[in-house]
Amino acid sequence: MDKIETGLRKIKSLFGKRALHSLEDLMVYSYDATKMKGAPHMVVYPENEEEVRELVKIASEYEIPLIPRGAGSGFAGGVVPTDEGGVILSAESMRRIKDIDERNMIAIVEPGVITGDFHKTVESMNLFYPPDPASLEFSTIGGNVSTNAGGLRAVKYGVTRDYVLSLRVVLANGSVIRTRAMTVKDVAGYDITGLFVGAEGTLGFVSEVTVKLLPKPERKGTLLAFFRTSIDAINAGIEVIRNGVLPATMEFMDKTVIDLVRFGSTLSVPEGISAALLLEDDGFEESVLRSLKVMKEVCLKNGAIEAEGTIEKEKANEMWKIRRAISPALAKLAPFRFNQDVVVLRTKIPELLKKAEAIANLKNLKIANFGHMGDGNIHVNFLYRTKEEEKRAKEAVGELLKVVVELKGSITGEHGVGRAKLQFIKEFMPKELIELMKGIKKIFDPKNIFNPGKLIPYD
Amino acid sequence: MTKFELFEYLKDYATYNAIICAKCGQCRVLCPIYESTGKEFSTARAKVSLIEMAIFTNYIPGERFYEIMSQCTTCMGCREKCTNDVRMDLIIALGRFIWSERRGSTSLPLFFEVLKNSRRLGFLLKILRPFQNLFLNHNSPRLKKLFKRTYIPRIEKKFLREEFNEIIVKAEKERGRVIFFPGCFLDFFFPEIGTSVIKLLTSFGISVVLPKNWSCCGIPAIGFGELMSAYRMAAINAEILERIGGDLIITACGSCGATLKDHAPLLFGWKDKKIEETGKRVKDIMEFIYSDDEFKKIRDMNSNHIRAFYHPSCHLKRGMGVHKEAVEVLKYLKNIELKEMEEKCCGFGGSFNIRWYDFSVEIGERRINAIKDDPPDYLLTGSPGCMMQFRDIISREKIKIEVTHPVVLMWREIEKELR
Repeated sequence: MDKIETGLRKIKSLFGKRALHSLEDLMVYSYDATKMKGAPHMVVYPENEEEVRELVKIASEYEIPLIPRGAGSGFAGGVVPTDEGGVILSAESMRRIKDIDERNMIAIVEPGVITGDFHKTVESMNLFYPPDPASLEFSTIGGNVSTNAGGLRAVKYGVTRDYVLSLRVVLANGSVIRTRAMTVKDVAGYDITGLFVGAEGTLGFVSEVTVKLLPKPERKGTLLAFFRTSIDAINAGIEVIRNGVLPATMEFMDKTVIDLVRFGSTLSVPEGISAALLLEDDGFEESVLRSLKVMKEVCLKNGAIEAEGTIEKEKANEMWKIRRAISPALAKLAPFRFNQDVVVLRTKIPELLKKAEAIANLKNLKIANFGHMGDGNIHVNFLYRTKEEEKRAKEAVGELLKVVVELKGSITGEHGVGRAKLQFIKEFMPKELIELMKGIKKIFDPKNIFNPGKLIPYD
Repeated sequence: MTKFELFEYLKDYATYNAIICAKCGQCRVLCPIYESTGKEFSTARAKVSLIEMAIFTNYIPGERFYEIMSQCTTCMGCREKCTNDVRMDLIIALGRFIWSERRGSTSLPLFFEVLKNSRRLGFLLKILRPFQNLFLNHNSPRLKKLFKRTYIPRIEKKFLREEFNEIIVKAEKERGRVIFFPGCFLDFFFPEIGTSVIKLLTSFGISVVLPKNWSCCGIPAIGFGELMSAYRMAAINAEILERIGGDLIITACGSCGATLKDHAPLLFGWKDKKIEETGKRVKDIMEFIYSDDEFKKIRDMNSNHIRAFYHPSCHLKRGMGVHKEAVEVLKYLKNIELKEMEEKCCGFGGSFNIRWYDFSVEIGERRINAIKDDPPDYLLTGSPGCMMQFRDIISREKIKIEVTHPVVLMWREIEKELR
């Protein structure tokens, strides 16, 4: 304990007023979007890489856990301190866009840059940074990198990993590495960059991110289709892609969800349907119009009752409103839910939905499914109100994850492991892989100071 | 109502809201404080979790608790962004209430005691009026340093209550009748707004009942956490407005309107049904003009070429739900070139401006910076609070823009047409 106290005092003198440790400030940095809680010992706001290096050196010497944190909007408790506490290494004061190279189409940013702000900046230069997690208005690039965040446009554009060219990382021994050249191609050696993307801050502190940019698409075309059954909807989605259109977005909504949001919408939602698809493609106007035509034809051929496409912004907004209305509508149905972000192959989605439904029936719970059908990433939500229902919902989650593993899918498609899914990693990940991860962790961070108690199950 | 009753009610209310708060972080997107600090402790979810700690644990709120709670302009941007409809504004009001109880200030309740009676307040201000130059002399550098502000509203030469002595201002061909609730600022500091409202309404056949005795709406008291004072004020107003009768109540101050229509009914409506009933009758002046087709005649009238920006006051837009109406009505003016400013708080926030003046100015400067390269003739906004803030920033930066209320501009432009 004394050792930690000495270390904390040193950190305090290093950061002065930028180190907070009042009870109130610790409380405020004790949670993320999971509602889990765990108090840190201190919160610090380094302003540059050099300060992070100094901090890491002290933390290593006195073995104080460091918890890198962006916006704290994660869904896995990745930034929630464990019982050990530690120092929150907030990236909130590192929010400069250092450089945007228009001709080479790359940008260099600090980890605290808010993704949505970055979008706006590059789009004003006719450039495009595709990763768009739902939290983009407030989550940070550093956080997106550390969780390898996905987004609604992932079907066509992929996830954060696909845009990270190179990183600067402060390692546990206080040294700094650049993981890769900033060029489009570089195959020299292991893919160290890839290792840090999605590492949830367990291997080091990402102090600078170089990302790849694309030309900004000219137009967007949006299509909303309603189906009699979920199987029809999933089939139609698969067929759309097989018929030559890889849409940016392919969102699925089940019956519960549609029945919830239909009244708030200005669009007429036909009766007797149990699934809907929201498709969106982007590109030149001519190509978007062609995509819309193909998507509509394929949907109608595959059992859609109704399918309507548009390139008008306002009309598209009305369609998106349905998708965006889901979360608030679910909150009104029941105050709490376990939102799982499981992922399977596209063709396995009908089976997943069927089994999830069966689990919900068995446990007598309300269930709502929606999400990124194009990636096979479906948000299965078990809703609950009471403590008693919560217990059943927890069991249901366990059952669901078993099903997902049986279907050769993964228990998390975009939220990450953090603290929330640690037990499931232990249960479902092959032992050899866990051992390998432990080995990697040991190479980078032998004293286990970076975000301990996350991602890798010990004991 | 006792303090205890109020606390128990608010505690239950906050508990429910704290439960449905998913701590997702979305609340920071429109937050002017977060825009400045960029730190988690400025977010609304941080305030929610501090309240949780204050009501569910043995934690005794300290100075830092109040610091965080007081860093809020009450713009309700968090509430607008929240997907779960958490009433952060009321949670913050509870936070300030808890603190004010702990601190046990005696001067603040006394101050609000004065605001409770507009006759008494008017009398007091009338006595102070001749001497205001002594202490509000804008040219004295020493006082400037003391007050920091470059603009301080002056007690007007003629109050609204002195301009219109009668209780009912009759329209010539009466089509309807409304009650006009001016509030402190429109009566004593910006009577031009009140005059414009009354003259505009009466020239279109709407008679105006101008109550001579009312109370401050209570928003400053809510801002300082003096909820008991705010309750008494709301009760007095409900009583007076009910006695006058069943007409619509028109406000021209977004903050008064939001308090009467939204805040007071939510905080105290459960105890006093009159407060809730009064709230249902409240309409903003622009909302009223928009709803009455007779005013569309303004479109046929001549007006000067005007370049104006409209700043959506948070209390008007988020508190009263009036935005489109105000913009549409302004467009009735024939030669207006109207642009809308970003829907972001000006940074005033009443008690916030007093406690965190530099902070408040920083936020206000960002708004003015966005329009200063091509300054318009007018900057229009529906709350005297925003007006004061913008006038301060503009005189500080020495830019020439006239900041006023939309209704003042409307009346100025069409007055001669009606003669």
